[in-house]
Amino acid sequence: MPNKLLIRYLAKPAEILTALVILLLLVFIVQMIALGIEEVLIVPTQREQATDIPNKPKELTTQEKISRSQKEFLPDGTIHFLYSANDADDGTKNATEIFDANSNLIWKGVKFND
Amino acid sequence: MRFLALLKGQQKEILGNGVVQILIVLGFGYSLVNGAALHEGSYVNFSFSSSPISDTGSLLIFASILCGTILGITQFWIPGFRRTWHFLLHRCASRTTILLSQITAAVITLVIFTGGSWTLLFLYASLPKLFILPPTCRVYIEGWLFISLGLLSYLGVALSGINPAPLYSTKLFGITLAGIVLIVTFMQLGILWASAVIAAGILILAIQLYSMFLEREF
Repeated sequence: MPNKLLIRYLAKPAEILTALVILLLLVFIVQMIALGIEEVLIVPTQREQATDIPNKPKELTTQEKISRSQKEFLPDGTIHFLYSANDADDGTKNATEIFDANSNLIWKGVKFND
Repeated sequence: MRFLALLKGQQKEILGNGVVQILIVLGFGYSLVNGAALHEGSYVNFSFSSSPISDTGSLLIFASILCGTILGITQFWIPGFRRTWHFLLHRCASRTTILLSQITAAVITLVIFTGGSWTLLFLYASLPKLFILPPTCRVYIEGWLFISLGLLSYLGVALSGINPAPLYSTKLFGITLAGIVLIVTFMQLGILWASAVIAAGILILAIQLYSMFLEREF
């Protein structure tokens, strides 16, 4: 029965191919589950850790603060420096600090007429 | 002669499935096409999904897979449900003849009843009065691809049916492979690739089915 032999020779590879395809599907499903678990459990933890580190504002030296400040010359001959911390993310956004020439803080608050 | 006699017997037994196919495809399809004709205007009419009769695609898939699954279960999964199994017991016809008669009967049911109903439905949708832009030839070919999924599911169910392995082992490999091919077909492959995938799936399942049918003790 050559036909029977031929079909047997063809059937074995077909069976192996079927098993391989199903195995690939199982691997794919396991991979999707693993990626899903990672996305749900691990990635948010990393994000939380990343957000836990506060963005510390860079401490500026007095000279840097003066150079970045707006200069206001008053009629009595004194100079005041208006420093606006616009880039700060610590709740003091748009806060303005007014210093005298000796770097003493005279006033701190939000300027609404900017 | 024995093959023809067996085929005739098989065809008589599964005639009910064919009638159900006609009722599903023509009955529901007719109302779907008429419904689509009322809302024509928002279609590009290039592929099946964008054609005015896109709703009949899911109907064809459902009808052909249902037909294939029912035929596979009744012919192979439940021994004795169809009379052809008695021929196996009495050995008055070769196993190849019996298997070929069963598969041919299933193919005839799918091609003539489901495919014929689809052709009639397509011809009706192509009437110039119904749509401004009638469905293209591509839509008709895609419909036949959906019908071939019925043969795929039939072979998958048949292979699982005659597999003597336990249910938790390799018994369901046939159905699983048919399901994988079904999913791959729907991955926006295009007609040629989808046809190739379906043909490969049918070939792999048919070879295994034939080999198992010859070797298995009944």
